[in-house]
Amino acid sequence: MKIIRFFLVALVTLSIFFILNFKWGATPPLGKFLDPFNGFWQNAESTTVAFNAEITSSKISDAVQIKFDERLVPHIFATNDYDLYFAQGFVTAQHRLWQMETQTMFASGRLAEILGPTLLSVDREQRRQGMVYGAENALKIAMADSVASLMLKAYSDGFNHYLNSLSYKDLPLEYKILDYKPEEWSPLKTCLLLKYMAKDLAGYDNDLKFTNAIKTFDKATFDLLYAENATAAEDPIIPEGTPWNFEAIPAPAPPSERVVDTFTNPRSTLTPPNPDNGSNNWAVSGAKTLSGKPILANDPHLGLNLPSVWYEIQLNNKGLNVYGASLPGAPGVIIGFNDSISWGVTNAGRYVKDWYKINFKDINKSEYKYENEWLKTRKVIEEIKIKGQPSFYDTVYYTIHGPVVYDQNFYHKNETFGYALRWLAHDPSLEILTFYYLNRAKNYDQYVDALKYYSCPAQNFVFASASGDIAMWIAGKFPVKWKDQGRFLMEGTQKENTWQTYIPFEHSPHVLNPPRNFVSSANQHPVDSTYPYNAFEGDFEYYRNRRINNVLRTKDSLSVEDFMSLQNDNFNLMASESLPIMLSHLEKENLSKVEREYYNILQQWDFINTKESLAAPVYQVLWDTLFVKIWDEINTSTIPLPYPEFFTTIKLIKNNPQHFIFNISETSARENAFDLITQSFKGAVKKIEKIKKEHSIENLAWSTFKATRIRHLLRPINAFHTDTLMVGGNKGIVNAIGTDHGPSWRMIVQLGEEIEAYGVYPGGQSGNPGSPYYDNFIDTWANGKYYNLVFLHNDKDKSKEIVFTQSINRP
Amino acid sequence: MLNTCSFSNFYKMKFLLQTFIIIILTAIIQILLPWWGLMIACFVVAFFAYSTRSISFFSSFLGVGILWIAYAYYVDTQTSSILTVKVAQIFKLPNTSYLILITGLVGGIAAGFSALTGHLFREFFTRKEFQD
Repeated sequence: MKIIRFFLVALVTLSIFFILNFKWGATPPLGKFLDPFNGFWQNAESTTVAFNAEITSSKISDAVQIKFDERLVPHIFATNDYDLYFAQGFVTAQHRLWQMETQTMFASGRLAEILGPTLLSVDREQRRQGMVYGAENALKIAMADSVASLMLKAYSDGFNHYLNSLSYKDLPLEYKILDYKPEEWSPLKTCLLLKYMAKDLAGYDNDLKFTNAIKTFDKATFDLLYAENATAAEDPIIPEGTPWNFEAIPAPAPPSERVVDTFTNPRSTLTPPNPDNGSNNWAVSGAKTLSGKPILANDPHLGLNLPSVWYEIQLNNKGLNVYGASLPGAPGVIIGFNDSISWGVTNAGRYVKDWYKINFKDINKSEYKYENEWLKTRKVIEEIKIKGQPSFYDTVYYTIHGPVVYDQNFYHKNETFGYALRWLAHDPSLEILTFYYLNRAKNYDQYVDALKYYSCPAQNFVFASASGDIAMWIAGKFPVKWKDQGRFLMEGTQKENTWQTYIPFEHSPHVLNPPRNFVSSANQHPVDSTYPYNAFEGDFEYYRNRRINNVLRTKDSLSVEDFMSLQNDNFNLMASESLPIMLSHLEKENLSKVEREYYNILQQWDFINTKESLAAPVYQVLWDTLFVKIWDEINTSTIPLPYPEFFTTIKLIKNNPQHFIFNISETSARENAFDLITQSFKGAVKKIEKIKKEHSIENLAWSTFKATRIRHLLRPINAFHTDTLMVGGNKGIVNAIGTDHGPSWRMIVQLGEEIEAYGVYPGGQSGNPGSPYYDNFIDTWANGKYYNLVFLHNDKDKSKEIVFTQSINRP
Repeated sequence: MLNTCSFSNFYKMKFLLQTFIIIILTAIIQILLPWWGLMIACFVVAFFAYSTRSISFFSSFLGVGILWIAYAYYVDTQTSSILTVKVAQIFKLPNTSYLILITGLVGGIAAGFSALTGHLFREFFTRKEFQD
C-alpha cells in the first residue's frame, strides 16, 4: 500500500515537473516561465536604468566608458577601434540580443529551427536564393582585410562577452516564450545581416513576370503598359543637364538570337521584398537656408517592427566622433553625422538580380550546357532543421549563373530545366568599410573615397559638410548591360547573356553643389535618358521625389522646422494628379443621394492625407477598386504577370481612355476608362458605407481606415504590438507611413561649428517588451516631433544629460 | 479537551514553522537553481520534518505560493505593470491579479506534490508517529 501510494504521488509529481518544464504547443513552459526568480518576471523593467555598471574583459586593451542619456542612447568612449567595436557589440547585444539573432536566423534560412514547420518554405527560399552563399563570399574578403576583420571580430567578441554572462534568468523574453537558447555571434552573422538588408533593398525583380508579359501582350501594348518613363519630367535624382564627363564603356553585344521562355508552371514566384521599401533624403546648401548653413535630412522607409531595425548610438575614439542610426548586428553607424559631415541613404533601385534558364544534360543535373560545352554543377545539400521534426534536406545546384532556385523540387515541374539566379548580393563585398570610412570622413573627398567600397544594396548617398558642400552619389556595383539585358529571363547557354564588365565607380551618377542649391533622392529614376548606361528598374518612385523637389525649389531661407514639416508632409501628389481626371469623367447624372455626398467630399478635398481626412479613404478605395478593375487581364491570368505602375496607369487613363485594355473581357459591353471610373466610384461608396456600418462609426477618418500598427517581430503575439496609431501620410506621400511600413528613422542635421541634430524612430532603444524603453519614441514619432540628439564632444561633456555610465575594464 | 487543544496548537506551530522554513529555503535555493529547485527544497524539507501528510503538502503549497505571489506582486508594482499587462494578455487573462495568482498556484502545486512525495518517501524508513 505504502509503495503504491508513494509511486502514485511520485508519478504525479514527476508529471507536474514535465508539464511545467517543457513547452506544450504555443504555451511556454509554465514553471520555468512563471517562476518569479528566473522566469518572465525577471524581464520586467522599471524606468530606473540598471545594467551591470562594471564589466571586465581581458580582450580589450584600454578602459571603455558607455554613457547612456535619458533616452538610453549609448555614447561609447574608447581609445582604439577594437575596444570601440567590442563595446558596440556588447551594448547592442545588451538591448537587442534576440532581434540580432532572429534577423540572421531569417537571413540564413533557419527560422523553422526555432519556430517550427510553418517556416520551412521561408527557409527554403532563403537557402535556394543563396543568402548564406553570398554571406560566406563576403566573409572571405572581409576577413582578408585588416580593418574589416578587426571590426567584425571586435563586434563579435563584444556580443559574446555579453552572451556568456547570461543565465536563464537574464535571457531576453522571447527565448523564454519560445523556450530555446541564443548562440554565439560570429563575423559571418554580420555578413548575413548585411545580406538580409541587401535582400530587402536589392532583392526586387520582375524578370520572370516580364518574360510572361512579353509573351502575353504584343510589343506595342507591352511598351505602353511597362513604359520606362525615364524623362526629365519625372525629376530624376541627378538634375537634368548634369554633364557626364566620362567616356562610357560600351555595352557588350546582345546575343544574335534572343531566346525568351515563358515561366508558365507556377502561379507564384519567390516572395518579393516589400515594394514600398524606399526612402527620402535631401540636403540644402547654405545659400538656401535661413542659418546660411547646410542642412541634411533622411528618412528610410522600411517595414515597421518592434524591436526597431535601427539602434541609435554615438561612437568616439581618437580621430572619430560619430552619431547616428546603427543596424543591430553591424559595427559602425549607417546613417548619421560627425563633427564635419553628415550623410544619409535612400535605396537606389536598379535590377541587379537576373535569371538564367539552365539546360541540364539529364535528370541527374550534374552537367549543364554553356556555349558548346557541358559544365559541371556544384551540388549543395542544405539541411534545414525543424523544431520538433526531422530535418528537411534540400539540394541546390550552383552554376556559373549562380544557384538554380527553381527546379522540379521548387515551384517548377520540368526535370531537365531550371532557373538560376545571378544576383549582386552573391558577390564578395566590403560595404562595412564604406561605413568605417564615412564615420571618419572630414570632407567631400573622403566621403567619395568611402563610397568606393560600396557594392550592394546600391544606395543614393546624400552628403553635406560643415565646410558648405552638398552632394549626392549613387553608390553601388552595377553590371554594364545591353538594352533590356536582364529585364527578361535569359538563356543560360549563351555567354553574351552573362554580366561581363561593371560600370566604373567614377561613372556612377553624382552631383556636387548643383546650381539649384539642393540635392535630393526618393527612389525615383537616377538619371534621365542621356546617361550612357542602361539603368533600368521597373519600380521607380514618381511622387515623393517631385513633391520634395517642388517644395525645395519654391522655398528659400529654409529652416530645420521647414525640414521637419517636409518630412511630415501629407500632400498626396498622386491624388492631385489623378482624382480631378477621375471626377471629371465620372457619370454624375445617376448618382444616388449618398453617392453625391461622397462626390462632394472628394470634390472639396485639398489632397492632403491628414489623419482626420474623410476624403483620403474614399480616394484610396476608389483607386484600389479602379486599379483592380483596369488590370483584370493580370488578375485573372494563369501565369504571373507584373502590374503596370500607378504612374503609367494614370497616364493611360488620361491620354488613352478608349484603349482596349480598359475593356473587361468577362462582360459583353465594351468598357472604356470612364465606365470603369463610374463603376469603381459606386463600388467604393458601397465599401466605405459597409466599413462604417461594421464599425458603427459615423465618419471614417483616414487614420482609422489605414490602421497603422507597429508589430513585434513575433507576429502572433499581439500583446507586444502597439495599438492602432492615429497618423496621416501614406506610401507615395513624403510622410510615407503605411499600415505597417514607413519612415523607420527621421533625421535632420544642421552642420556648422556646432552641430544641431534631430532624430526619432518608431520604437525604443530596448528590445525588451518589458521595458519602458521598448516603445517610448512612438508617440513622438506619430506626432511628427523630434528629439534633440545629444552629441557629446568628449567623455566629460554635457554630463547633465547622462543618466547612467557603464564601464568595461581590463581585469 | 485541553489535551486536544494543545495537540492542535502543536500542529499549528509545526505547520507555521514548516511553512516558514519552506519560504526561506526556497528563496535561497531559487537564487542558485532553476525553477525546479523549489521541488527539491520541498521534498527535502518534508522528508526531514516528517510531520503529517497534510502539513507537508499544505505548508509547501502555501509557502511557495506565498513566496511566488509576494515576489510577483513586488515585481508588478515596481515596474508599473508594463510587462505583466502584456503577459496577462498573452494568457488571455482579464488583469494582472490573475497572472499573479496563477503564478502562485503553479508554484504551490509543484511545491505541494514534491513535499508529499518527500513525506511518503520518508515513510519507507520510519514508523509513522502522527496520524492525519
